[in-house]
Formats: sequence, structure tokens, C-alpha cells
Amino acid sequence: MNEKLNLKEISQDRIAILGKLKNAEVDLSKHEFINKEKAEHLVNDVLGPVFKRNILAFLK
Amino acid sequence: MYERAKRKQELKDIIDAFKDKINSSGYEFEILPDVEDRILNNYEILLNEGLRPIHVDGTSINIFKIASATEITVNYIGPIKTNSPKTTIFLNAQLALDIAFSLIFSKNFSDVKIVLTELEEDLLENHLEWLMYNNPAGFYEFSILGNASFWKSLFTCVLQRIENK
Repeated sequence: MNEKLNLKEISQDRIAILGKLKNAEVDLSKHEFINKEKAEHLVNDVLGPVFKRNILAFLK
Repeated sequence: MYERAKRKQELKDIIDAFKDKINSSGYEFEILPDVEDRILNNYEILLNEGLRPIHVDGTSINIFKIASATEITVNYIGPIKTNSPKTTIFLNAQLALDIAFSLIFSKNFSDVKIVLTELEEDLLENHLEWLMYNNPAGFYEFSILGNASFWKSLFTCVLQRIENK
């Protein structure tokens, strides 16, 4: 079997009926949005408490 | 559009921060060499075979779908290894979640310092359950679009709360 046929998102029948999707998005290849400083803030400051909470939920 | 070198650096920044977080928590772990390339090699399969074929040619695919596909890829390939299967599953799911969250929130908030509410943390805990308890035969079995909807919903909750302050 062609593995491509198993992709959840791919139904050639639906694409034929519905057409293809469009997005309103900037060109991310030219848009600088994350760097080391922002990554450290998000991963450690914002998601640090989530990490500790999830350790208690799943590992303890 | 997609530029691999740029995305590789973005992933490296997030993964480096995540490694610091694990180290400070005291867990012993190893991470696969060339982890960013391994992630991108698999992500590009989902991008080229899952996302691009359902979008109009030349469309810039939105950050929620990109984050969703990246998260699914990371969780599936499991680049972090520990001596405990439970810890390994947990850390890989959490890494996948952190990468998706960081891509979305860094792209949409340039300066705002975010503090999540307990309800938002609840949502992320439920999301982690989903990542941890799925054991699919392949990452083709996840829905990129369904997962993207979760991320857009969470992001919208946080955005509305911050804007209404």
C-alpha cells in the first residue's frame, strides 16, 4: 500500500470537491520570531511551572 | 515558505532551553545527535505530503499547522532517551509541546511576558496526556489539522485574556 494514502489529511476525493485551502500568514522564512532569549523565556519562565506540574501528574 | 537552515536554528534555540530545563530538574538523559536535522527530515515528510497537497500552491501555511506538524514529528521520533520508558515518553511529549508552544507564542507575541493561568495549564496537561497515551504505528495517524485547532484555541484564550486586561 502506498503510505501516502494513509495520511489523515489527504483525501483526493475531498480535495476534488472542496478545493485547496488558503492561509493568511506571513512568509515565515523571512519573519524573525524566535531567538535564544525568547526561547529561554517561553520554555523556562512560561512553561517551567507547566513542566513541574506535569512531572507531579505523570512521573511521581 | 520554508527555509530549512532558519527552522533548524529556531529548533536549536528551543531544544537548548529545554535541555537546561531537564538538567535543572535532575533527570539524566541523552538526546540524539543531529536532533534538529532528524526532526526536520521527518517534518518535511508531513509538510510535503500532508500539508502542502491540501493548500493552494504558494500559500504560506499558518504557524498553528506548522507547530502542530512539528510537535507530532518530535513526539513520534522521540529524540530524548532515558533509562526509564515512562520518563522517556514524558520528556519527549513535553519537548514536543514546548516546541509547538514556543513557535506559536514567539511568533504572535514579540514583547509580552506571558504568565499562564491555572486553566490554561490544565489544557496543556490534557494535551500532554494526548501526546503521551497515543502510540500510533506512524505519525501519519495523527491529525495535523485537529492538533492545529487545539493550538489555535489555546492561543486565542491567552490572547483574549491579555487583550482584555
